[in-house]
Formats: sequence, C-alpha cells, structure tokens
Amino acid sequence: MLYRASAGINSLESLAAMDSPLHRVHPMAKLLTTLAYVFAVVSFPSQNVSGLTPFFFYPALAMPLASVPYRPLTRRLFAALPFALMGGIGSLISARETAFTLGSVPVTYGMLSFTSIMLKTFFLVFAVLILIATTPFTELVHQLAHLGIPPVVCLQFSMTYRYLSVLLLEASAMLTAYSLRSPGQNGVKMKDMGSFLGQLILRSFDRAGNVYRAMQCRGFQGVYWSSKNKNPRGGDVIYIALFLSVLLFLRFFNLSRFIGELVRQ
Amino acid sequence: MQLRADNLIVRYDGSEAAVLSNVSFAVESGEKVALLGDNGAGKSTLLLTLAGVLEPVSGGVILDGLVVKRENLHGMRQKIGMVFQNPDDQLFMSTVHEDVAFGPRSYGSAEEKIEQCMDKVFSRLGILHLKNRMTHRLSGGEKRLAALAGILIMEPSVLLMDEPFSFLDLRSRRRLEEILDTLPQTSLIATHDLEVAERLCTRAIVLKEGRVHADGPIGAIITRLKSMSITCR
Amino acid sequence: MHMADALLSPEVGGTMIAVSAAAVGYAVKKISKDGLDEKKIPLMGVMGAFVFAGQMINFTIPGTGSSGHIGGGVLLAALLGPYPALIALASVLLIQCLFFADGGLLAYGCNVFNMGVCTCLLAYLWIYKPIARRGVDTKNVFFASVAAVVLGLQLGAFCVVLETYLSGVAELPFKAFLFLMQPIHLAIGLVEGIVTSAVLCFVYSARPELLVSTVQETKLTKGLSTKKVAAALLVLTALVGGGLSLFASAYPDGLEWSMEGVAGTAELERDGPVHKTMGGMVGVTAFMPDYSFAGDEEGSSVGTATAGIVGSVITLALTGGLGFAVGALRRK
Repeated sequence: MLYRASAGINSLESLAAMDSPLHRVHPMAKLLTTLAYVFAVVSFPSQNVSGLTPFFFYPALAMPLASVPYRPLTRRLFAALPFALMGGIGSLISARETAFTLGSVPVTYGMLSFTSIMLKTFFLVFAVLILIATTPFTELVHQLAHLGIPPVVCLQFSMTYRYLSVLLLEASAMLTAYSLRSPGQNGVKMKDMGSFLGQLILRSFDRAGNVYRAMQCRGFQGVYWSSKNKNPRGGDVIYIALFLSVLLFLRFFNLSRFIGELVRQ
Repeated sequence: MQLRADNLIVRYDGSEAAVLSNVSFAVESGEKVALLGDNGAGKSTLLLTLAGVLEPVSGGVILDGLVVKRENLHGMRQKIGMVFQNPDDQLFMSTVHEDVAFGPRSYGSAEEKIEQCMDKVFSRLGILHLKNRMTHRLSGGEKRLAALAGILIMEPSVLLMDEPFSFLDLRSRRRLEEILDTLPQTSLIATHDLEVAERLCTRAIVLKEGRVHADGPIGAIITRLKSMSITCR
Repeated sequence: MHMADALLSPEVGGTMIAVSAAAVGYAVKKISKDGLDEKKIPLMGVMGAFVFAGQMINFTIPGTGSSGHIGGGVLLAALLGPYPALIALASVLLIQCLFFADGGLLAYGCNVFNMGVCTCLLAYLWIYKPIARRGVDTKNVFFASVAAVVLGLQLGAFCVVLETYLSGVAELPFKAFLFLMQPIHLAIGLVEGIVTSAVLCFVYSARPELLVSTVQETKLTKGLSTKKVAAALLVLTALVGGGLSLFASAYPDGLEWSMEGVAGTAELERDGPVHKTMGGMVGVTAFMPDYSFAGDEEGSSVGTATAGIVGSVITLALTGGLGFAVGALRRK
C-alpha cells in the first residue's frame, strides 16, 4: 500500500513534468475548464445516458494530446468504483419499472441510472487524472491562492505534499522492520498499532520541530504565501472559450440522439 | 565577521543538566573552524544556539561586537546561515525555487532581485538545472546543495554547518568539499570526517560533554585525537 | 467513506463545497485570531503527511480476518487542536482527491465535511474535549477517543446517506441505505476508536505534554460556542442549498423551452421512484420533481430511445476514433 501510493504519486509527477500542447496550457485555464466539465457531467439527470456519451470527447482527445497513458487510470478507477458501484447497483435493484423496451428486452430506469453513474464515474476520474497529469500540484496550489484560498491553507497544501514522500518512506521502513520480525502476517497486528503509529507520531513531532527551527533560521515570522503567476497567452483564452462552448453545446443539445435520428431516417 | 561565544550555558526545558557549560571561543573573520566531538557532545546544540534558535541560560553570542538579543534576533539571523544535518528538514517547500526564495521573501526582498540572486547562487553551485524541480525528488547530494543555496542566497557572513557530509556518496562529498573550500564566509563546520576537516579547516574546536575540550590548529588536534581514538571513522 | 462525484447532484455538491469552505475559513480565522503558535505551521504539514501515510497502514482485526485503517480526524484534533487539524485534514483530502481519485472535485466539499468537520470539529468539541478536560490521563483519553471516533464516523456516515439521497442520482432507498451504513460504521468506528485511543495513550505515556497542551490551549480560547457554529453551518446549508435548488428548478424551464425549439422534443415528466417519494416532500427537496432535461430517455417512445442508443454508440466510436487519430499523429 505504502509503496504503491508513493509509486502512484511519482508516476503522476513524472507525467506532469513532461511537455505537450496540453501541458503548456495555463494551469488556471485547465483548472477552470476541468471544474466546468465536472459540473456539466454531474448536472445530467441520472437516467440520461445518450446526452452524456458525447462527453467522452474530453478524455478521448486530451489523453493522446497530452501523451497520458491509460494505465494509471485503471488503479484510480478502482479507487472510485466501490461507492459508485454501490449506488449503481442500488439503483438497479430499486428502480425496476420499465422505461422502454428494446425489441423484446425491457430497459428499466435502474439500468439507465446504472449506466449513467458508471459513465459519470469514468469521465470524472478521467478529468481529474488529465488535470493532475498535465499540471504539477504546486502549480495548482498557486492557482488556488489566486482564487482566494488563504495563505495558511496554501502553505499547508504545499507542506503536506512536501512531506508525503518523507513520511511514506519512514512508514514503509518501519513496516519492513516490523514484518521482518513477524513472518507470515499481513499488515500490523491491531494491538501493535498503538506503538507503531505512536512512534511515527513522535518522530513526526521531532521532525516538525527541526523544520520549524530551519524556518526560524531563515527569518520565518508568520505565514505568507507568494506566487507569481504566468501570464495567460492568447492560446489559453481560446482554449477556455472553445472548451466552454463545446461543453455548453453538448450539455443542451443531445448530439447522440441527433446522430441517431439522422441515421434512422 | 567575527563570531564569539561568551561563556554559553544551555539547558533544555525542564532539565537540570546543562547541555553546554561555559563554552567560550572566538572565530575570526574568514576563518574556517571544524567542530569535532562524539555524538551527544553538544555540537548541534552549540550550532543552534549560535544561530539564535536556542536561547542560552547565561552567556551570549556576539557578532562583530554586537550581542545577539531577542530584539535584534530577526536581523542577526540574516547574517548567520545555518545548514541543518538533514536536508529534508531544511527543504520544507515543495519546489527548489520556492524553497530557496523562502529566506529572502521572509526578509521582504523584491521578486526580481530574488530571481537575480537565485541565478547567481545556482550557477555558483552548478545546480541551475534543479531550479524547478520538486524538492522531494532530489538525490541526497542535490538536496544538500539546494539547502546550501537557500542559505547562501541570504548572503550570510557566518556559515554554521551541522554534519554537511552526512548522507552523501563519495562524489557528492568531494563536490561539496570543493564548493565549501571556495566560500569566503566565516565557517563553523560540525563533522565526524577528520580527513575532510583537515583539508577544509585551519583550526578545530573539540567538544566533550558540553565543554570545550580542546581548541587549536587542526593538524595538532587531529593527531592528538587519533592517538586517543576518540572520534574516528 | 469517500463520497463519489458520480452520485452527487450539482446542488448538493455545491452546497457542501460552500459549507466546508466556510468551516475551513472559520478555522483559518480562529487560528489567526488566537495568534497561531508558529510552531504549528510545520507541524500541521508533517502531521497531514503522517495521516496520509497512517491511513495506508492496514492492521489485522483479531478474529475477523479483515483489516482496517485509521481515519485520523480525531487523532489529529487531539494532537494539534481542532482548527489546525481540520486544515491539515482538508489538505490530505485534496491530495487524495487529485492523485488517487478518492472522491472527486465536486465531492471534495462533502468529503471535507463528512471526514473533517464531523471528526475534527464536532466529535472533538462535543465529545473528546469535555471528557479530556476532566483531566488528561490514560482512562479519560481512552474513553474520549473511542467515543469521539464512533460519533464522528456515525455523523459522517449519516451525512453520506443524506447527501446521496438528496442528490437523487443513485436511486437508493433512504431507509435501507441508512440501515446499511450506520451499523457498518458503528463496527468500523469501534475498531478505529480503539486503535486511535491506543495511539494516543502511547503518545501520552511518552510525551504527555503533547496531549495536555492541546486540551488546555482550547480551554483558554472561549470565543464562539460550538452550538453557535453548528447552528451557523446549518443555516448556511439551508441558504445555499435552497438558493441552488431554486436556481435549478427555475432554469430547466428555460432550457426545455429552448430544447423544444432545437430538437423538437417536449418536456418529459420525471417519475423515478425516488422522485415519486420526494415529490411528496416539501421544502428542501422542492427542486427535484421538475429537475429534468428534455434529453431524458425515460418515458420517451421506443423510437427516441433507439435513436439515443444508436447515436450514443456512434458518438463514442467517433470520439474514440478521433482520439486514436490524434494519438497516432502525435507519435509521428
């Protein structure tokens, strides 16, 4: 778990450090369009499937544009799935009225809800993955500061992120030492958790004390957050405008059904 | 700049035993002094006291004739740079750029000036390529140099270093040694590495159980230490 | 217990973002007004990272063969004080949301509330602090932390159910969902509470001042009572939720009208089972019955449904193909 977590963060960080047209888009533009995309997708009523499918456009285009591989996605999907699946399956069970029949197969409201929830999960996980795989986390924190998040909170985001790898490394070293002395066992025994995590806390307090001293030595007198933002270029404005108009169009015009009708005629 | 410790006595909160007792010495401007002694002899405590992080129970730290007090602490800290033993404690911001800028920003420097100084310091240390990297993804040697950059950018007159060669492989060690050798600052370097100390420094102070055990030319002291085999790797 | 984006409606998600932002904003104000101990700044960062790592250490629950992990809210609050703990937990949740798809961007507000506000603020201030105040010792720390963790999780689980139900995306029957979630989280809470108390007791035996100072510190700062804070949060929820719902119920009309013009389809009444029951409810859920777009499959003729399905398949294939082409071009 610990190892996989830090490997997961590392792989996303390496992706974010690459270069592509999408990497070059201003982080604020990416943040805003991602939020808009999330809102647009989520705002579809639960039984609307055909209106939702065209939103596949974003992952379908952005993943290859940014050279983001599909593999890291699967793990993240697994993380997002359990709760969504529960919601989906719950809908399958509880909404059994037939919405319409396809030939002789009845399609229930629950089936529509289920499909819609799965599609949404898929799209939303994609959207966040694309954001974090093309934008370094620190850049995102700078954008949050520009959106008015208080300095203490921004500094907190930044420092938590900074010490993640340190703590993950420390914890996994402790876990290795623990499991070497307790063979044939997965994880830590519940009765040992107190001292296991307790030790890690005491070390963390000591570390935080040292960090505070290092901060003092460099003139720390209170929280501040300073960030110079990149100037948005013309391309960034066009990106936002284009993205938003596509979102609006797809949100209010059912492209799938339109194409379907065309084919039928 | 001259750095003087005058009869320093340091105790930790709530403890009776002194970590440092009656420590006195003076380091002259431009002098490089090795601080030697066993683990727990009080080296780190001494450095933290000199940096103004720990407050002595009695005695004082005197910088070019000025006693460091609470009132002038903020200004004095700018003149004394301290490099910590573990660079993970020192590099607390998430990118090298932000971390190195932390000191000057705390002292209210203008952003343009920070950029200029940063480029100068980075090229001096040969780490211009690290500027936009994430601090937690640097190697041990890179972390050490980035931490040093964060100190040097504040243009301190005195450098205090706590085991700067720990966690480093041979190559990074040499590289750091070369860099330290060219730095003009008055320096006090705590280390266990006698060979490096001998090459870098002209003088050594040995601490033992919180007291100055010996103080003199490095060659003589190291010969004496080796014969007593107090601190040998 | 991360809430998922896909089960949220924009109204519920938006409301919870506003509420959590207010709670975090209050915490920020609180710590800056009390003159935050500067030492706490790096401590919050390092302890945030600790909670992140700590949540990944699974422990085996004796006699069950299953494993659990800590949530960390009450633990953080006991070590740092409630307000720094909330801020630290909010940053852990942000990193989890971005890097691990735990929850989602819209669900971030819900998650900060369910796992942060419920534990660091409510459970800590209502349960942990009053007990620990009687004197920090092993016995009090044990009872305080077990009770606080259990209550925090119960509150959190209840919020998850409520948020899911009010969103109306997943058609989960409220009662069944509630009867599923609460007992499960009671069990989880007991186990997590015992582990949390073991951790705190260990810290207490090694460095008692860490736990004592937090309790005393919060004793000194009276300020607003927790009841007032809870009331303020409730009012805010009602206001934002109500406002967003009004907006949502107002604007589909305009949409339907324009949709009729564009696509030639008429408004379709929405009558999923949840919405039938909710149609009877007044007030908070007044926005639900008509919250529908003309694109819904339901109730439409077989022809429209087939058109929708055929069209969806074609759209997916087209966009997929386009993406494939872009990828191929970029590799050249």
